Amino acid sequence: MVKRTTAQSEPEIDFRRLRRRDKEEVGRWFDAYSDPVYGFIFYRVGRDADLAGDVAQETFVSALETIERFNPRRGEMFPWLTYIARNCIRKALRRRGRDEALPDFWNAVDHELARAIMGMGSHIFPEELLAQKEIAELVRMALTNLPLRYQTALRRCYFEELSLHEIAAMEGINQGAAKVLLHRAKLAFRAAFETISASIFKGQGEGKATP
Amino acid sequence: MSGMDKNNDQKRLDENLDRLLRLGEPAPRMPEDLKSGIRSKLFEVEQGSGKKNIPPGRRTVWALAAAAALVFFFIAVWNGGAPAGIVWADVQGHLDQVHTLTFNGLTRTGMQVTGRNKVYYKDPGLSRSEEYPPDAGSGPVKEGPRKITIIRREPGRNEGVTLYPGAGRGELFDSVVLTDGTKPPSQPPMDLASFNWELMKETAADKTRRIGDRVINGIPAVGFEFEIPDRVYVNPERQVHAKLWASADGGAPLLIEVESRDPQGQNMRTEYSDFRWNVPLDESLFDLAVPKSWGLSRTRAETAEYSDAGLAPGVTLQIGPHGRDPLTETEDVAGVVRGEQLTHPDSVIPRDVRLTIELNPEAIQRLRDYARANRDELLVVDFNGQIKVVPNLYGTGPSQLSFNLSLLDLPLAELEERYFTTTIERNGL
Repeated sequence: MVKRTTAQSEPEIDFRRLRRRDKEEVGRWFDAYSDPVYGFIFYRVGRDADLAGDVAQETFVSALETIERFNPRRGEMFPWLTYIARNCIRKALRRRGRDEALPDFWNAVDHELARAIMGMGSHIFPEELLAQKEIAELVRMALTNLPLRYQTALRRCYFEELSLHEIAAMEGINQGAAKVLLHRAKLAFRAAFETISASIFKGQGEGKATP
Repeated sequence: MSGMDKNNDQKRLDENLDRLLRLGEPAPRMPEDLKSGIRSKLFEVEQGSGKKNIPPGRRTVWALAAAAALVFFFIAVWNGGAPAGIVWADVQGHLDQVHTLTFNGLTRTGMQVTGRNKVYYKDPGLSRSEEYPPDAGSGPVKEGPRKITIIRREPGRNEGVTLYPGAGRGELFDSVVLTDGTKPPSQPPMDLASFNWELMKETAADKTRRIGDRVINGIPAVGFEFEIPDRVYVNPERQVHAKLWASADGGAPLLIEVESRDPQGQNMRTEYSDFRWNVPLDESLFDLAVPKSWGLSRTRAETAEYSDAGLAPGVTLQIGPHGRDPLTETEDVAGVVRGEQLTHPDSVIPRDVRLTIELNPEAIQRLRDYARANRDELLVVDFNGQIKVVPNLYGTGPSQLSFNLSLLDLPLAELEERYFTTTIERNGL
């Protein structure tokens, strides 16, 4: 029987033990999410590693302090952590006197670019568009927004250049299911990419951008 | 759209997605040293913990106390880390011998001088910080200070004044923390000695490192470096890097350099120098009097921490969407946690009174879920059928919320008598 290829594969955490601040469980929880949360923050603070570290610490401490508010039946842990991280990023950038939640270079992204991105299905992207560093940064930011299983699948496929057979083996699924997983991951990426792009372009008009 | 068009669109989309994804990179992993730092912080987070708000007035006091603490701390660490003959136990004896202290502080943000201070301390709990214009030049300060802050601390209470000589204006402030039980006040420890001892307990002597020798003002000096909690901006999670240079002959500290970040996140470098220990300091330096001809304003902050208080019998409290059935009833109130009052005795500005209560976990979750799902609706606290106010659903604890009771036009002491069960003793305060 083939396992369902959904994104429902976050690490298993014993929330009762986590709420009791059981050291072992706190460690497991932190180890499971430290890298993806850090990656999520890193691109949103303009690749400032020091600031990303500070924000990551604030995020995990706030999350653990308020872990009673997290209800696993209402959603997954990673999106909840990114919700807290967004607030921490906003506060950190405000403390640094930045009005906008993204580095200044996003202001370079103009409306022509916005139109090009939104028309993803109607024309092939020209090379000049892909050569813009803002586009690469948007891609990286969108990737860190995805559910963990999708992030992993896309990383294996595009950056580690593993074959479908290898991805399937690592996931413990057959090749057909791996193909479906990658397809869904790409659709999720498209949605994240377009949403983030839209929020930035909208934010430019309103003077704020908070993807 | 024809089937062929759809197919072409899909192909273009797939190709674009592939090309975009190849622009990505593996997201950076969290550095291992950062992981280990955060992991140890997380192990300190206790069940039911929450961030406590410290009123702005107290932040000022806290910052000043922390600066003093830093200096005392360095003296202690210097002894503790010294290679010859001195052990950590000697630190206490050394601190006990320092009862007055003066030093100069110079802060640079980037290459620019942004702060220049002269600081005086006298046990127990007297402090004076004179702030000079950043461009006042090096060496002895000739211009008068543009701002003077004097604080007199005692357990549970701080009195102080900020003087602005250029504007002929003074601001007196008084901050009191009361408690009706064994629960300690949320106020940070203001007593200088206890605060310093607390800091030293957290840092072991082996956390100091020797960093070589240099000559300071013609005096050969040996250097030590440390990481200490940044208490100045009430952020003990952040570590501050510091260096202390002490005379190679006798070991008196000559220079302390601290690198930190201000609340805006800018890198700051502060140097403390010109130390003088146990010098006679006139009591008049810590006088809170404001010159007669100056403008004067006063503020008084009062915080009452209730250890085991609730609503008085018959008092009702319901919370729910405006104009609809309540989501929580009086029975859902698990306790009254804190009362805060800010008054402006010389002004027509009305007093501000705020109450923090604890709800049953299910009740607070119900409210927060409702607020999240109905963002265009106001949740309203109906306090005893007398006033309706909008609460802040996210208080300092996981199940706490707070709301303003100023509309009742009653001082906090009277609110306690009428509406809460508390045994707090005010002793005329």
